[in-house]
Amino acid sequence: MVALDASRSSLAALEAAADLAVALQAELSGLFVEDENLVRLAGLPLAREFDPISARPRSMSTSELRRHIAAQARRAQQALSERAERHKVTWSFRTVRGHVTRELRAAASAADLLVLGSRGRSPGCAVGSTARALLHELPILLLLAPAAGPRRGAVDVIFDGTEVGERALVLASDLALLRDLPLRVLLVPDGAPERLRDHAEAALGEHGRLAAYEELDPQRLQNTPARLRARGCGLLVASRAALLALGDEAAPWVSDLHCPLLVVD
Amino acid sequence: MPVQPLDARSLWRSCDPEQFDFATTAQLEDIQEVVGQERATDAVRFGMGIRKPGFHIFALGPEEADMQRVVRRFLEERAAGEPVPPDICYVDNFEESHRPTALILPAGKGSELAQDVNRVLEELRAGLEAAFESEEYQARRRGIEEEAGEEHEQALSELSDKAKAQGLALMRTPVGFAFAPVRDGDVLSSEELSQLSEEATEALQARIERLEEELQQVLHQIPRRQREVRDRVRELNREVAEFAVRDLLDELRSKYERFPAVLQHLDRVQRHMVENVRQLVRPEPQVPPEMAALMEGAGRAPDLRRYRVNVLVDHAESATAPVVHEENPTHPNLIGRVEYQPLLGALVTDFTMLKPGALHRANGGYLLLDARQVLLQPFAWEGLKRVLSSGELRTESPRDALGLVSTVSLEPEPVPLNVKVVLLGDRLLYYLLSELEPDVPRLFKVAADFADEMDRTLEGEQLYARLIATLASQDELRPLDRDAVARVIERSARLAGDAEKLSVHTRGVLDLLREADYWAGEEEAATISAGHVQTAIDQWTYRSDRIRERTQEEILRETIYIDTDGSVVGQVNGLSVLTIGGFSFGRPSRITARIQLGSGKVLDIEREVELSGPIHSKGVLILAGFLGGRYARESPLSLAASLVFEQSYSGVEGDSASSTELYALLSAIAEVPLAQGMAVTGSVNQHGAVQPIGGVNEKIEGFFDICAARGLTGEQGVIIPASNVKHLMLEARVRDAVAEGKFHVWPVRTIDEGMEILTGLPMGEADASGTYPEGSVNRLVVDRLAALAEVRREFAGEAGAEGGGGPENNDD
Repeated sequence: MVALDASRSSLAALEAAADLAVALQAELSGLFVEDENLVRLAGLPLAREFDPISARPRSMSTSELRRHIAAQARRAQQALSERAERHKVTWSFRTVRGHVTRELRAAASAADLLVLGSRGRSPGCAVGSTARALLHELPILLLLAPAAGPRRGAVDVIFDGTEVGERALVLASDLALLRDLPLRVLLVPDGAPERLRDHAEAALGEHGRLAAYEELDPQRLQNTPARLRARGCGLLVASRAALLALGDEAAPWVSDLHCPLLVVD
Repeated sequence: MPVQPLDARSLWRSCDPEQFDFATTAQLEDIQEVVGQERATDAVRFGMGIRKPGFHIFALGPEEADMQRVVRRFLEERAAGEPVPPDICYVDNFEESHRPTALILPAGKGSELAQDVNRVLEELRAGLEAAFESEEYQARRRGIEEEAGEEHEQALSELSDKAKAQGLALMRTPVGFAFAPVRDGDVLSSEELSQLSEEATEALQARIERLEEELQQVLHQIPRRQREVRDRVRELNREVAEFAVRDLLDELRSKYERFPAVLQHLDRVQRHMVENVRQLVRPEPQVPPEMAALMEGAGRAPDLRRYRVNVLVDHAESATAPVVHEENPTHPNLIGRVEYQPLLGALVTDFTMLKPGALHRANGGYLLLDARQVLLQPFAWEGLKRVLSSGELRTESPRDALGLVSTVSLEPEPVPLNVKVVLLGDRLLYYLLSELEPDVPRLFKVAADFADEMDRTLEGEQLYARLIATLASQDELRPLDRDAVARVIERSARLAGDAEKLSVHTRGVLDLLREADYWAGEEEAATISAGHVQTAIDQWTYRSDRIRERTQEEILRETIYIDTDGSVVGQVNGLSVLTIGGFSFGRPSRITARIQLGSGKVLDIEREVELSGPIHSKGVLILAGFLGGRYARESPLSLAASLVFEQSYSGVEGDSASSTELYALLSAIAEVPLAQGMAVTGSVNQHGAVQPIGGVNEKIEGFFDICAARGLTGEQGVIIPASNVKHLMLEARVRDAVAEGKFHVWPVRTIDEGMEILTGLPMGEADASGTYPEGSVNRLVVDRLAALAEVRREFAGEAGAEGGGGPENNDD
């Protein structure tokens, strides 16, 4: 399931989703949410919008807004069909009306994985409000794609020894195998790093010997995005718990990443 | 004393094979000098040596003299000792792309530079991509972009927070930004809004308006910030590109540090690369991909060709100064050309499509051209003159000069010209050009005049033998034995039409040798013998002989009337020469004269009907001068004579028949018959002296063949001017008949001598009183003229009596 709104960020998400759909031989299902709030705003007598280029005000009308939204939906569907056909994956597309986060959450319950752009459309936030909300509460796998689009590079996974962490580790290993990419395990030790590594190797089985291991300083986790950027990371897999442990730092941390982030629960 | 006929020895000057001390020409070494062309070769040598403007060479002479081979050999010898000229390259002039810059580099350096530049260009893209993909660059660029982005985001974020605190949300609509009143994360519906009190609504409105003003301020900042970002990114790009490009070009700079023009060009390349680095790293075509593919095919994609070096003239492999012979001297082949490529229906070009002309290739050396070819090619002569006058080579197409086609074209920087041009042409062309074309004497100051013949001395024959040997060995022919050499020399004298000269038309000699070699080959002989040479001559004659045979046949069948025995008044056999396709033969013609009463006018029927040329007419007018001078010093000539070439239906030219006409005229006046077994040739002057003519050998042979076919009587022969005796090189059949006394050749100095032979009567000398002796031809002429004058006087008297003193002298 990929959330689409025809923005650059959502197109990047679409690329990442198509990539994964190929690797996992999954169906690509696009969802476009007509934002109820916008429609409502256009219906208000005092509503007017400002052109970002000329900074001039313009009165809003519901019909015009609907036309714009319909055009966005069409563009989103076209982008989806083009990519799906290029990657030869089956696809579907639907449009729903309502509150974006709520509709996505509802729709996601029927999907295995929700992919969306990490950057929002609304101004003022490096990580979109939708992404932020879903990061906290979505019960399924969540892939956040940066605006820059996917890059080919190693699969990195943050492993903290927990059960969810182990799931993240196995998933990352499978993806790396499927796409014939190197796997790097970032160990976040609670105590003895050696034990954590043994744990990871045991969990990975055969594949474990091929992976590279690296230790992260739990106190300096905020530097991780820069490190990943520097050596070319194609995908980062992490448990939700590990991200939420960052607290308020989580949102800027995600925005700093230049690779897609797969959140495992 | 009557003139004695020539003996057979005088009819031919043989070449004695015994004078040669070789058995075959294989024993002779090739000669290096040019035989018999000292004047021309000295002129060529002088012309090559003098390095001043305008001292180009015009080699003039007959085509058969093989001037081209001679001149070319001279030029090559001289060029061998001269330095190799520099290479000529063209590069883009980045400021004005339609004016490519010329780079003149020492021989071999041009192609080297082109290769070095190509290598750098191969590395360039990779080098620039590495620089632009490096972490450092990416980090700095992202830093700049993010800094601006963050500022912007920060401002919007602050505004958003401020709005939130006032129960509003800053929302992004599909085409802009808007503030909306919210409650619990949802925008108020219009029903909810209408439930608000008027004051609350106004307050809300006021809050929104304040925020909107702030939003406007934030939005106004965006373009300025974006511009700043672009400027800073551009500056960063320049810095990175300059570093990468300089690194690559510095290697070339140190290699070519001795050539300031190259360094200057490299600086321009660097500047251009740095300024256009975006296209170099990521060529983003400004056109749709399909169009870009087309443009790629046409070589016009935004690529690296602008930086390449177009080597027009590459002397990397040359060891001497160039000698170029351009056989097809069209304007573009001489001056060079700008080629075009069709691109989407238009013609486009750039400096890489400049192509060299013969002048480029010959620059620093010698250029050999056929003058006639240059004149025949449109614009070629004008182009050549312009280049030679200006001393610089400017490539432009006549199409551009005339403005016939308006498309993008080039004006390449001119190249200094240092070339010696040798034009080859026949003499007439040279004389016409120097008369009518003022630039020829100005630009081609050195005339190398090639001779047709050389003196046939003993040394000359020895030298000629070596020339024959050289031609045979260079053409890989069988060697000639000494008899064959002698025969070739005799033939050469015959070709020169002079027993004392030899033809230096080496091409004609070479053709004879080749044909003789063929006949030797047919007989599987190891050497060429005199017999083979004779076969070659006979076969050549036979192949060319059809028209002569037809003419003779018509005479023998008496379709064309030529008497070869008996005697007739006022009728004589003249001789003319016809040249068709390089083959000359003699042909007898009957010339007759008739006289009547008149006022001294000699009427030339050929002239009246405009069938004669001016020289012929002049000859006839001289006859009247002779008659008047000898016979009418004291009284007017009272006759009118008419002269005609019988059965001549085409034009007559030349004065070689003027003596013949005089004989016919004297015979007609004196009523003395002339022997018809004789033919006459020679021109005459007003004093009756017989002067030499051309083609004497062909003329004698032509009459001999008719007589021989009818049977030689022993009375037959030809009267020729005495001064033509030295030209006699008659064929064996004539010589044999003369030796047996069956045919005669009489050399005469005067009309009187000829008249005595033809009539068998003495001419007679005037005594002191001016009276000629009885029975002499002169006496007969004088008597007849006196009788005519008497008749005329009587006639005039009668007419006067009848007319009562009227204008009886009107026709005088």
